[in-house]
Amino acid sequence: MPNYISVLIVEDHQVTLDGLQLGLSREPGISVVATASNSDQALELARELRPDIILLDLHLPGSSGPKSMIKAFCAIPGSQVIVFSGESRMAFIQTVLGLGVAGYLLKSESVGRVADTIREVMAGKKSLISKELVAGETKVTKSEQEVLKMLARGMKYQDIADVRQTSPATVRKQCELLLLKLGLNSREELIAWAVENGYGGLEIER
Amino acid sequence: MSLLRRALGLVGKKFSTSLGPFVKVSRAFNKEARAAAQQAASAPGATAGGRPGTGENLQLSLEERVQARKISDQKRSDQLGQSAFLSAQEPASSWRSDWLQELAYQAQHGHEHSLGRPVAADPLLLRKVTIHLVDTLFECLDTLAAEFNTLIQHPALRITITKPSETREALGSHRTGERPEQALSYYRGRASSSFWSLSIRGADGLVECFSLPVGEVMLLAQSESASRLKLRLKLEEKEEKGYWTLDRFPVNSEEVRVLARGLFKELVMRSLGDHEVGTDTLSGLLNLEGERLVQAINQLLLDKQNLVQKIINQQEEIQNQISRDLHDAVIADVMMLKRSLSDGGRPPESEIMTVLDRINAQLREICHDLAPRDLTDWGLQTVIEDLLQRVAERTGIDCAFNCDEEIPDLPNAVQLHIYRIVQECLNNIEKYSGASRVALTFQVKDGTLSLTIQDNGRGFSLSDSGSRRTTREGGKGLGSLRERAELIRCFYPARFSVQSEPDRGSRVTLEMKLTGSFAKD
Repeated sequence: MPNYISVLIVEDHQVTLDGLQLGLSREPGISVVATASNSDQALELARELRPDIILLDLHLPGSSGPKSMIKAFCAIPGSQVIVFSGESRMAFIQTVLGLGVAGYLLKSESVGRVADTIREVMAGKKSLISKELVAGETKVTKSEQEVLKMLARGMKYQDIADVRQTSPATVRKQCELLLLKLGLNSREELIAWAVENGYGGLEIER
Repeated sequence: MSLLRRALGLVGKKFSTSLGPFVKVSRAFNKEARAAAQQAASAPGATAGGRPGTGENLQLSLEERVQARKISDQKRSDQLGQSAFLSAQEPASSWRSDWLQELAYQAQHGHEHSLGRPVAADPLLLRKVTIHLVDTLFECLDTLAAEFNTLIQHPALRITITKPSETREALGSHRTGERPEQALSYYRGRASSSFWSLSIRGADGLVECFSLPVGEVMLLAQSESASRLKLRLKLEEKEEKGYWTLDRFPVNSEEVRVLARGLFKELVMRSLGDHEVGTDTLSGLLNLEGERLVQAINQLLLDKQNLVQKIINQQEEIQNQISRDLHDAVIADVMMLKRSLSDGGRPPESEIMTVLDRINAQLREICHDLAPRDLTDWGLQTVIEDLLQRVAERTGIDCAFNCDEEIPDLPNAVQLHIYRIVQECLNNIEKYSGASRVALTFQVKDGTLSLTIQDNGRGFSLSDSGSRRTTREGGKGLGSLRERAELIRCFYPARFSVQSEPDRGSRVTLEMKLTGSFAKD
C-alpha cells in the first residue's frame, strides 16, 4: 500500500480544477492521481484506479442527474466520496449525505481545508461538512427548537414524536439536521448542547 | 320490458306441461278472481288487525265482489276515473295485483295482448283522466325543480317549469297512427334548463314525454320526434277498470312519481353534459345542430378568449412580481454596496461578503421560485423539504415535514403540479392564516400517495373562499389549486379537497392513486 492518499478530482470548471490539482499536489501525503471533467469519464477512471478519495462536483455534464451520479460513485469499493459544491441549502446537503458521501465541502473552502477534510475522512470521520454550513443557533427553526426543548428534558424520539404528532423517523431526521447545523456528532452531544443552551427551561408549546 | 316478457314467455312455454294446473288457474283469471284479489288486497283492515280470521275476510271480499259485479256502466266509468286518476284513494297494494295479474297473463304462451276486454271510455272522462296524469307529473317536477334550484349554483342549470295548459295544434303535429287528419288538442307543459327541455303532452289517454334542445321548443310539432320520446304512458280502458300502462304494464301513482324523477334526472344530466361542453369535452358538439351548435361554438370561443385573458393577466402578474422582488431584494443591496465602495472609504471585507451573500441568497430564492429545476435532479422530497425550511427560517412558523417513506418517482409534470400546490398553500398560509404551525405529510399506502397540508391558523369559510378571495385578497385562492389537481388527473386518478372553518385552521388534501409501476420512464 502506498504511503500517500490517492485522489481523483472531478470538476468541470477548469480554473477550479487547476487550482485544486495544484494546491492538493503540494500537500504532503496527498497525490492527485487523475482528473476528469465529466461524470462518465470520471466513473470509468474511478473504477479503474480505485482512488482513496473522489472529490466530486455536484453539477457535471454527463448522462445522469446528481443523485444517481453520487450513488454510482459511492458504490465504488475502496473509494470515499467528498462532494465539492456551491450548493448551500441544507435540504440538498442532507439528501447528498444520505446517499453515503463522507463529506460535503463548499466551493468557498480553501485548498488547505480541503486537504484537512481528506485526511479526516481517511482517519474514519463521517458526514464532514464545511464550517460555513454550521450556522449555529441562528438557523435553528421553530420546529427544531421544540425538538431541542424536549431533548433537553430527556424525552426519547418516540415521546417527542407523540407530542409532535409525527413519526420517530421524522424526529430522527430532524435531529440529524440539527447535528449538521450545530456541527455536533452524536445525539448525546445534541442533548448536552440543548441542556447547556437552556432549552430544558423553556416552555413546550401546546 | 319486452325482453323480460319474452324471457318470461319462454319460461312459460318450457314449463307449461309440468305446470298444468297453474296454467289453468291463470287462464281462469276471470272477473271474479280478479275482483276478489283486488278486494282482499285493498282492504287495509285485513292486516291492521280488528278482523281476525281469514274466513271472515274471505266472506267480506265475497260480499264486496258481489257488489262489484253489480256496478252499473256509470259506476264503472267512475271507478275507471278513480283508479286512472291515480288518486289518493288508490289502494296501497294495487301495484302488486294489477301488475302481477298482467305479468302472469302475458307470461302464458299464446297471450299476446293484455288482460281484459278493451272498452271505449267516455271521451270527457278520458280527457279528465289525462289532464290529471299530466298534472301529477308536473306536480312532481315542480317540487323537484324548486328544491333543486336552491341547491344548484350555476344559473344555466336551474330548471324552469312551464305549467301545463290546453293547446290546440294545427295539422302536421303527428300523433303516431291516430287521427292524423284532425287538429289535436293537447294538454302540455315543459320543464327546461338553459340547454334542454322536457316537453310533456297529453291527449285522449296518451301521455308522452320528449327531450328536446331548448332552441327547438318553438317548433314543438316538428321537434317531438319518435327518437326523442322518453316516456309514453297509455291508458288501458278495460271492462273492469282502467289504469295507466307503461309498455302495457300497469303503473300506479308511486311509480309515476319515480318516472317523473327519472325524467327530471335525464333533463339535468343532459343539461350538465351540454354545460360542460365549453370546458371539458367537445363530444357534446357532435350531438348539436343548428342554433345550438352556433351557441356552443360561441361559448367555446368565449371560453378561449377568457383563457387567453387569464394567461395574459397571470403573465403580467408574474412579471410584476419578479420586478418587485428584484427591486426590493437585490437592487437595494447592490446600490448600497456601490455607494459604500465609491465613497472612497473601504468597508471591511467581511461586510462586503455579508452583503454579497445576501444578494446571492435572494437571487437564488427568486430563481428557485420561478423555475424549480431542482425537481428533476433531486425529486420532490428534497425540494419540498427545502421549501419548508425556507418558510420556517423566513417566518418562524413551526413547519413539520412528515415523510417516512420515499416518495416514488413521478412524472416531471406531476412533480411540478404537486410542488406548485404546496408552494401556493404555504404562500396562503404565510400571507393570510396567521398560523404558528404547519404540518406537511406525505404518505404512501395501498398504492395511494396522499399529501396533507394542515395549519392551525384562522381558517376561512369555504363558501366565500372561491372567486372573491382571489380578487379581494390577492391570493390565487383555491381555484388554481383545483386546476392543478385537475391536471394531475391526466396522469393518475386524483382527489383534491380543502377543509376549513373560521378559527379552526385549514387542511388541504391531495390523493393520487398510483396505478401500476411508479417508474418515471
